[in-house]
Amino acid sequence: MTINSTINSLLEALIVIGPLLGSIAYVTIAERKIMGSMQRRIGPNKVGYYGLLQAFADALKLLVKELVLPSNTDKILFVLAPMISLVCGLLVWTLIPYGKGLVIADFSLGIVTILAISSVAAYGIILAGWASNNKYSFIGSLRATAQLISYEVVFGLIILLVIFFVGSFNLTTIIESQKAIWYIVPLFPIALMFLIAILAESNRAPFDLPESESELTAGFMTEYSAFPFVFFFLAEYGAIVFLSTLSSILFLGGYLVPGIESNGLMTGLSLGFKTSFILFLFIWIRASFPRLRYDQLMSSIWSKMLPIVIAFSILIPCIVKAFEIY
Amino acid sequence: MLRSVLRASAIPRVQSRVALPAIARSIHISARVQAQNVNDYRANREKFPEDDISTRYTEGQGPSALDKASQSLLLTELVRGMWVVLESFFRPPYTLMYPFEKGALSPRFRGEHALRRYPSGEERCIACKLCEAICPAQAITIEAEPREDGSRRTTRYDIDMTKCIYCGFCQEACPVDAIVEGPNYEYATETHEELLYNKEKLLANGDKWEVELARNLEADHLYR
Amino acid sequence: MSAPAPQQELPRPGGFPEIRYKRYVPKIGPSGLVLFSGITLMCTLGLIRVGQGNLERRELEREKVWSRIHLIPMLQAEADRDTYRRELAAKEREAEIMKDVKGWKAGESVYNSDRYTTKSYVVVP
Repeated sequence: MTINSTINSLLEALIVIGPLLGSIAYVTIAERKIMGSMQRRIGPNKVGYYGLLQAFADALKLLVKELVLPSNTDKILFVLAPMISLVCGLLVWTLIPYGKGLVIADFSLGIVTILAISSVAAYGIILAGWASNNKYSFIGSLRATAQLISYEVVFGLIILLVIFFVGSFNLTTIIESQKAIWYIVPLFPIALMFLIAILAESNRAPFDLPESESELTAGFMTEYSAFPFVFFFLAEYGAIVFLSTLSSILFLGGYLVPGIESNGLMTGLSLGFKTSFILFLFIWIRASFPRLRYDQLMSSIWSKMLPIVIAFSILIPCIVKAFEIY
Repeated sequence: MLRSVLRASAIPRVQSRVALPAIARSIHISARVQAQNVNDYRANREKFPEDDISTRYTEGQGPSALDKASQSLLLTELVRGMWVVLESFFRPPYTLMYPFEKGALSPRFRGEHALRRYPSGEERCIACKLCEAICPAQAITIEAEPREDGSRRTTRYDIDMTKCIYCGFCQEACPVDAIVEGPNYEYATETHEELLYNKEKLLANGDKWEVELARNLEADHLYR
Repeated sequence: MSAPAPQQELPRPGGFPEIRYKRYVPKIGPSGLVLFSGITLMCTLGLIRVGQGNLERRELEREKVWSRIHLIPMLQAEADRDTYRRELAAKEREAEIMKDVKGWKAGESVYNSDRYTTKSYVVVP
């Protein structure tokens, strides 16, 4: 590898990670402002115009805080866990196409890689709960893991349904084959369930049991402060943004602009708008609904969503095969 | 036509009393439950006819099976809830921009303490120590001795504002309306010591807030 | 002097109205039939469109494959011609460079066989 290609890769990584971190910062602000408006409040409005710099102030506050390593923790795992989470959270962004060919790693098995990486991210949470040596952390991480595993099933099956239409695991191909129609139209019920599944995958309200403040203080993040906490925070919000992007790729046609053959800036903007819409849905749902009970969470996945998804994953291939439209 | 077929009450009641196969039994049970729902609906309508905004249901009919399925499968009720939230999203916030605007205070608001004076400038407090006695937090300390003219006055009147629980018993106990809790609530300090109020501070408070204090007392005097 | 009748707080004459605890949400919005048939219709139309799109995609893919299949002989011939030209040029250069060495035959195969072997090096212009 020559020095040039190293610099190239570094630049590519920075070009993706920089705006990603910015978007995470602004998702937090958007969340606070939108939740504020929905509850007839104002939200942060002091730091910068309309509170637009609030996230940076918060980040600065977190970074200058003391890094506390509680005495009975497994130090190595304790520090390693947030790193695993963050690395996995950032790694998946290499696979996202921002336009035709605008992707760092255009794997032919892109979506499988995404599933694999997001499964590894669960280790960060498990290790965090284990290493913290704290009952809240431990219960939180167990809940998070159980939830992740359960919803991964539905998540994977729904992705498989889309794959039945596309016939390829490559994300660019998935997007390009939505030129005829966005998959939310033929798969509307599935898209609804995918929304619920990604809410649960990203541990968001109303599925935020792993970090339910009233019961577990902060779940697996209880013992974390300063840098490791920032890592977890970034990983969490990165996952939210990522899953929104993924669902806009799978169901809303990714970077496609309906009716226009677009390229360059337009594709990126299009993907951004769709992602923002789903992020708004995330925040809207958080502002609307109370937290589920744990047994409701589990029964809603195993005994309600999974049978429906399995039914669809029989029906859709049958239709696709019967009419030979693969 | 289709709707009437799908309607809950249209499901035929299973007549047989002998042991039924599992599916038939479950149909039987669900038909009973549906009939119960329809009955509830009818009863509610008779009791509260003004409630009946639901013009879509024809006479005496509950929601159809499809309606119920759409409710649970398509999350229609959740969407309705989200719609309510979205409505308030577009309405103006209730927020009071605090340092710039302040909310209305009741005349009974119990804020910072003050010692009042008579219009002549003589302090009201007669050192009866009722406030000191009643104070549940024991925040008040009073020392008193007679003056040269024979009147009883305090030489020391301290309130530890960090002990005070703002119950207002002191102003209730005061026979001469000397110690009162005023409308001021912006007296945060940087040190603990600044909150140990002495007589001078309390009297100064009284001088500063006399207009408001008098007005509040007058507004509330009928209820005391 | 008789004691006054004990006053007890009682409900107002006729009693309090019944408390309605039972869930009673007025029905608004389209009925279940409309919703389900609408979604079924949407999904069906979408599926038809997906089918059309997939067929089109398949056709385009087929076209691409066949155009490549048809183009390959031409591209191959061009590449072969280029390779041969380069080989000749390389041989000439070799002869030029090695002209002072006795018994050097330019372009001689390194194998003790007459079988044709492709060159193991690439000449990049």
